[in-house]
Amino acid sequence: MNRRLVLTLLVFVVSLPCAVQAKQLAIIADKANATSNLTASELAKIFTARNRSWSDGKAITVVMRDPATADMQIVLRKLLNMTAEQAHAFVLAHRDAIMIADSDDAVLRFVSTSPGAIGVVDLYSLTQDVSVVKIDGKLPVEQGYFLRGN
Amino acid sequence: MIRKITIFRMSVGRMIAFLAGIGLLLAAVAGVAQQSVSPQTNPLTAALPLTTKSPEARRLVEEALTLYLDRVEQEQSIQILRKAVQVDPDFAMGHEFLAQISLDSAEQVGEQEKAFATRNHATSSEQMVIEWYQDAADHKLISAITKMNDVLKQYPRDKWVVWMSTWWLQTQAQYERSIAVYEGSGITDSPGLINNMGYNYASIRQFDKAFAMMDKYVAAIPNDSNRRIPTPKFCAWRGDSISPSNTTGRRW
Repeated sequence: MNRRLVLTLLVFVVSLPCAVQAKQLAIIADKANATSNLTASELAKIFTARNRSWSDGKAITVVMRDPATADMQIVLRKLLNMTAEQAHAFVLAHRDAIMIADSDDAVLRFVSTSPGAIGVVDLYSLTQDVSVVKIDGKLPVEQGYFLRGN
Repeated sequence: MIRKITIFRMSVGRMIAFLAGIGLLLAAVAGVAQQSVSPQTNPLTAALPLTTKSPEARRLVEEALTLYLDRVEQEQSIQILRKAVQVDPDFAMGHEFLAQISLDSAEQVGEQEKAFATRNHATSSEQMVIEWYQDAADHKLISAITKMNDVLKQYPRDKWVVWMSTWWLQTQAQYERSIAVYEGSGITDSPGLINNMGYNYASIRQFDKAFAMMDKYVAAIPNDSNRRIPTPKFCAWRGDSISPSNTTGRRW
């Protein structure tokens, strides 16, 4: 018992400086989507509805959580380049191409069952029902990954 | 007349075959329906299987897990798990639990290897748990995460699955996700989980909830000799100055 709590405390003492660990978001697509990599610029075009179809002609639907939430700050900053208010207005104006889900589970469900959908979720919410799309050739866990931030 | 009788006989034969077919179809549908509502497939009640050829080994593992999570007796739990895997060396989840609970790093590594080597004796769900930890050990983080979440999707309220997930997430500094898994599980009566959640809440600076968790923990295990330990730790995280009064004032 003593050793357990000591071990627990040790883990926390060691990990405390990393407690505000960099948040990593994963870009996901349905399993049938052949796109396995996008550049940051291509991704930004998709998320700002400037590109609305895949190379095979299939329509793109973007699904994400409310851009005003803390988890989506990286998306606001790095993909949309907007304030939360601007993003809110932008989403309202593009309802046909962008959907807002209330949880990562909802994003995963939608993407896994909707051909052409692309979504963004927390790395630690990933399931095997979707494919992870690389950004600039990098997966979320790799050094220099684009959608990594605090 | 003869012809009519023949036709009638043929019709009866066909009718019997038709009814037999319907009967078989209904039986099959009933079977499927029964399967779909069985506890094995209902995530709200499903429990992770623990596959072993030895009822004694299974009893020992269940006893060890109860001791670990409900009475927070890690040393005793480890001893019992060691016995269990001696009784059935092919008990893959027995090795996995020992790998996770052991305080000896060499034993952790060795037991993980044994769990992985014996995983074919276990069900696909147990195999997924073992592969999740193996992937984590092999630094295949995305694969480990997806396997953890797929196990959680199947067994969101299984105490051992919830403990394995929340503890692993905690070691990955994913405190918010760990809390979300715990809160989604609906489990409120496990001192081991409550203790871990205290640290998770404190790590994201939700100190009211952290202290509330520790109050629940003390109420559940009033004679725990280490009940004072979290107080100074949490106070320090909160930015309080540490003095004898706030390290011993609270009944931990």
